[in-house]
Amino acid sequence: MKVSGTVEFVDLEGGLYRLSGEDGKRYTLIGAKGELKAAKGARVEVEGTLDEGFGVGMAGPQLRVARIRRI
Amino acid sequence: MLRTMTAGTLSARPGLRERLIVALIASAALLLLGLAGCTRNPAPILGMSADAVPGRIEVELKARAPLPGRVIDAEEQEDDLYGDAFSSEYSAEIEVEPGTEAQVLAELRQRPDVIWAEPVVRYQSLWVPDDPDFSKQWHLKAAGAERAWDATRGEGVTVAVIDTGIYPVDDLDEARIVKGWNFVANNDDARDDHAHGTHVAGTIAQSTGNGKGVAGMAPEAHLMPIKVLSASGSGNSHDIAEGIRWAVDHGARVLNLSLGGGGRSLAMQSAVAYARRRGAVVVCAAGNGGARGVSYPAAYPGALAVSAVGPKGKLAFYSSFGPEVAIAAPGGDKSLGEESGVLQQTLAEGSTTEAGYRWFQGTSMATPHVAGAAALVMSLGVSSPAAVEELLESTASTPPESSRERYGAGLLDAAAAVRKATLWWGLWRLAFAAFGAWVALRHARSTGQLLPSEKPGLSFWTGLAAGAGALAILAPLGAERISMLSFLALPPAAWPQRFLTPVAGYIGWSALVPFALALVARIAARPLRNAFGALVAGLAFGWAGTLLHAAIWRTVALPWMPALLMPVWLLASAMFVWVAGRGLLAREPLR
Repeated sequence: MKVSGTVEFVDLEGGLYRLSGEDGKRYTLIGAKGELKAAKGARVEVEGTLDEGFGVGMAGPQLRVARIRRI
Repeated sequence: MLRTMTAGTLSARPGLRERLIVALIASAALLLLGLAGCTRNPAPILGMSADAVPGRIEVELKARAPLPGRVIDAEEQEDDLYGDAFSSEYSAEIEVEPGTEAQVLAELRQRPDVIWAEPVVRYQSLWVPDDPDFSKQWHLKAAGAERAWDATRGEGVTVAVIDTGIYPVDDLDEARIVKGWNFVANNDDARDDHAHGTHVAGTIAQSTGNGKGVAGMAPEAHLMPIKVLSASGSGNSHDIAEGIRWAVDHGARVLNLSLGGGGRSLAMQSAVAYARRRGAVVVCAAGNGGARGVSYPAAYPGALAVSAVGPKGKLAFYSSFGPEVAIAAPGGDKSLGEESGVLQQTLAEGSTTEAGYRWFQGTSMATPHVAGAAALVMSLGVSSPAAVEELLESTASTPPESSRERYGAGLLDAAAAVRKATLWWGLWRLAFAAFGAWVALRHARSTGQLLPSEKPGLSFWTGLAAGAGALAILAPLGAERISMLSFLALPPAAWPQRFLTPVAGYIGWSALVPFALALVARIAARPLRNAFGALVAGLAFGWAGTLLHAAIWRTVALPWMPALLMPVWLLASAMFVWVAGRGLLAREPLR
């Protein structure tokens, strides 16, 4: 799936990256930590898979990042 | 003269002395238990005392208004959703000139806009660890760890950290990290590569009193690393379910799951139920949604869901809540500043090998405070998960606002839970034992089996007190300071399960030991004239009191024993033990 939105750093559980999606949802982003750090605060398009699994975030659906592109 | 007369009366009426002793023990126990029942009533309002912090006063006002002295901390309520009559709009801690506190307090209490004012009081436990940054761990103090440590530090209990693994940082005692498993890579290297699991493990059992870094809730507990989450902090239901089962099968008594998700997994639900059946307490984070809706596995039946509060005891902004929340614990609230987080040692930021002390916040941080408290309680011989949960919930303190969904039973107070499991339960056991002994002695006299001259002496009463684990009453006074004697905080019936294996629990939580001793003692004629016989008779009544208490309070779980049958087993055992004790109160052994 592809979602556009803004990358936010959330100071929870030691630090998480979240995508405030333009579809009105918030996704906890998994993987690509280096790219996410660089994209903090930027508007991006994230391509990845929705992960129905479990994690430390516990704050909404998890999006496993395959590709990230600034828009 | 009075003494001679009293002594004469006692020797002339031999039944009178033991009746007096029994009455004294039972009355003292019941009086104290009565007082215990009153502990929820408001205590007298704090006045100036030696414990008061010089120059510091705390005050709540109906609205922000000028205060005397210097305001060093203040909080304005954002709302009053729950209409709590006691809640205020503005609370503050003020600093005044030392020596003027009493006068300022009196003036404040006269003001119509002041709801209450009191001195800031220092609470001192007997053992204060020398870890240099312990003073920054407001969260351990808020959870009642300090005062709980005087009675127990979680010895003999293994807590599984089902998380991203545990990295053996230098402020964790490697000797207390037992073998775990990595379900992500499917090998036995369960080291952390994320920092989350190590932080959680630190809250449970950071090395404490080692002159280094910070402390943990149950510093003598063992940690079992179960890695089910990858370096990205995510995992799947299959690995988590497998991890739960593996941990329980390898001896973990408390499971800490600082993880969650929105999807309901039957495999995970079944694993939680399995862990409960096997006698483990499953403590889970409620979630970080900041809204109504507890995540899984916390929402499964059998899990103890934990919400998070900040330093003021109010629900943290991020904490999920809902009807499944059982209890609230400190999880940090960094909106009040960095040092309002939870401080533990973990991996340094961005590193997978270097250690660092870091402030985290989240319901993941609240959960290990409860898991550590569960370990403290279990180390006192409470083996039933339901009893551990009941103990933690019934002793939780009142939250700042009334909301079952936000705080469950209230705010975790490990010290109160430990006090109940030692002092108050010890008194109940003693009261039951003394009553059983009184009934047996009375019956033996009425049937003529006990001569008027045969009186239970010191050995008998010593045996009774030992069997009832009466020394547990003194445990909160500092049994832990004498490590070799810490087992005295437990009744002997709990020793085999606590010091050997769960299966060995059948030795203690049955009639076996007192019955065997009674058989030996019966070989000797006139047991009450024989110190060993009298000791065993007393021990039997004490043991019976312990078994009866365990049956009523349902404090014990044994492997393969269905929970419903447990009280029946304990009651039957108590009866057998009482009969064994009663049998020793005969002039001649039965043939």
